Amino acid sequence: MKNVYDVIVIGAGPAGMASALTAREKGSSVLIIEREDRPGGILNQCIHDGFGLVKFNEKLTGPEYADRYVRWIDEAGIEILTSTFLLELIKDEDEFRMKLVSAEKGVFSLRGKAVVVSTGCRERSDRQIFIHGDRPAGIFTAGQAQAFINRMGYMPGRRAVILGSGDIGLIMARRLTLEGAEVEGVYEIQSRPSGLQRNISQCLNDFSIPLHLGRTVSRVIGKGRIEAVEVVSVDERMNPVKGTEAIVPCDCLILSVGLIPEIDILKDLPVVKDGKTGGIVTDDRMESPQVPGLFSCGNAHHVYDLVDYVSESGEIAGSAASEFAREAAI
Amino acid sequence: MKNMTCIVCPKGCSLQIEEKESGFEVRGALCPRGERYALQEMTDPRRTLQTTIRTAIPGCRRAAVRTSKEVPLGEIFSYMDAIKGVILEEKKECGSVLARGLCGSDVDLILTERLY
Ligand SMILES: Cc1cc2nc3c(=O)[nH]c(=O)nc-3n(C[C@H](O)[C@H](O)[C@H](O)COP(=O)(O)OP(=O)(O)OC[C@H]3O[C@@H](n4cnc5c(N)ncnc54)[C@H](O)[C@@H]3O)c2cc1C
Ligand code: SF4
Repeated sequence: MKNVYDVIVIGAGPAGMASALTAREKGSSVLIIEREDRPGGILNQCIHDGFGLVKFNEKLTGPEYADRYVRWIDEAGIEILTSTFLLELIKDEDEFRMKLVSAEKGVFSLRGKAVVVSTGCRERSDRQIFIHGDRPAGIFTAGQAQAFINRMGYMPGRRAVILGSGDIGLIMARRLTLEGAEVEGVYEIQSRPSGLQRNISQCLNDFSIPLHLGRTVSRVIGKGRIEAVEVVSVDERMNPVKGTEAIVPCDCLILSVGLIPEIDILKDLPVVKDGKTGGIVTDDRMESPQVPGLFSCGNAHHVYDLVDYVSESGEIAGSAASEFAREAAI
Repeated sequence: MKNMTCIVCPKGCSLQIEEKESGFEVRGALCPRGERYALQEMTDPRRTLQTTIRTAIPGCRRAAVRTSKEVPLGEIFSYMDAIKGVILEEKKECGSVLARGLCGSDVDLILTERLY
């Protein structure tokens, strides 16, 4: 391992891997930093298929899509530092300096001419959507539930209520059903589902799971463990309609209420946050106008529906980062 | 007339299927795959199936798998039961066949992840 790289990529999800490959192809020295013990990002827990339809014209599962890129990364000889967390990122004149930590190396530092931030996104949680009532065990985000079932083999519950009709929630409705749980229904406060129509069809309709539109969870009930939720209909202005309340017994509540780009790591840089996407403002080469040499792609830039476009954004960022590093060298 | 969403690609076209003397007539598909899907769906609906299995590999609790072909929608839970009995005993390459002829069919079980 060297101390200085042309391009350092933060996050080895599909965005980060695509940008590293492109930067390497263009002749840059590249290093990828990943906090998990393996590359692949969120794809590793998305065991369902539907990835790569646009890019490869094939119906791959998440881990298969990741495997393809990991193989290319290996072939290109690109270094990945796994189980390594980026703690601090600053720009010092013409260079980025980063402080990292890993069990193996302890705290250490690296320098890069260009940095690609492909740290993905995180899920909105119950703290952020203002449900009233108790805070017992048994409330999960859909991604958490997905990690529990698919990676660890634990069921989050036997009788689930799903709040929000995002794609991950729909996919988890099917996954829970296949594993023998009962999904009481999916509740969506809006009058239209937010997930793809194909997921309504293959995840809900195939298993006769009801979708309740214009209805939301208003209260969580349970001491210690969740026992039920209160659901209620809302009017056009999203206010609860009196008299439409119902108590739904359940032992877990799964939230699929949106994703937010994960960019905490940029707090020490003068980047401008995009109020709409939650990511940072960039030009069409995915570069921050305020911090030259800083690129952002994938879900860290804005939340994408399809992994194919995530990889594409990585390629754009990787190519531009490589060019930036080359020019910086002259 | 029957309405359905094509699930073959993310576009999710709304299809209308009408039974005519000459057979089914499909409208609303942006590409030929949609028509094929609708005809299959009317006669013998099938789905791909992905799940995880237990492993005997230390540090690896579950391994992701899928069926090699689509399976009949009405038999999905029988396939789930058959797959539950499969245990991955040792590390294999992503894409390896882990079991053949699930539920007496010609459908195999495929490993879909790289094991570390
Ligand atoms: C549950 C779910 C289901 C989906 N289903 C589909 C689907 O069916 N079809 C489809 O096409 N798309 C789907 N998508 C969308 C697509 O898979 C994702 O948008 C895509 O994988 C995001 O890639 P990414 O590289 O931007 O982020 P991620 O895959 O999240 O990768 C980010 C990586 O950065 C690492 N990281 C973060 N912070 C740090 C740090 N400080 N230091 C070091 N490393 C860090 C993380 O550990 C992670 O590995 C789904 C997404 C989700 C969440
Ligand atoms: S008809 Fe073609 S374009 Fe439309 S959803 Fe089906 S596969 Fe996609």
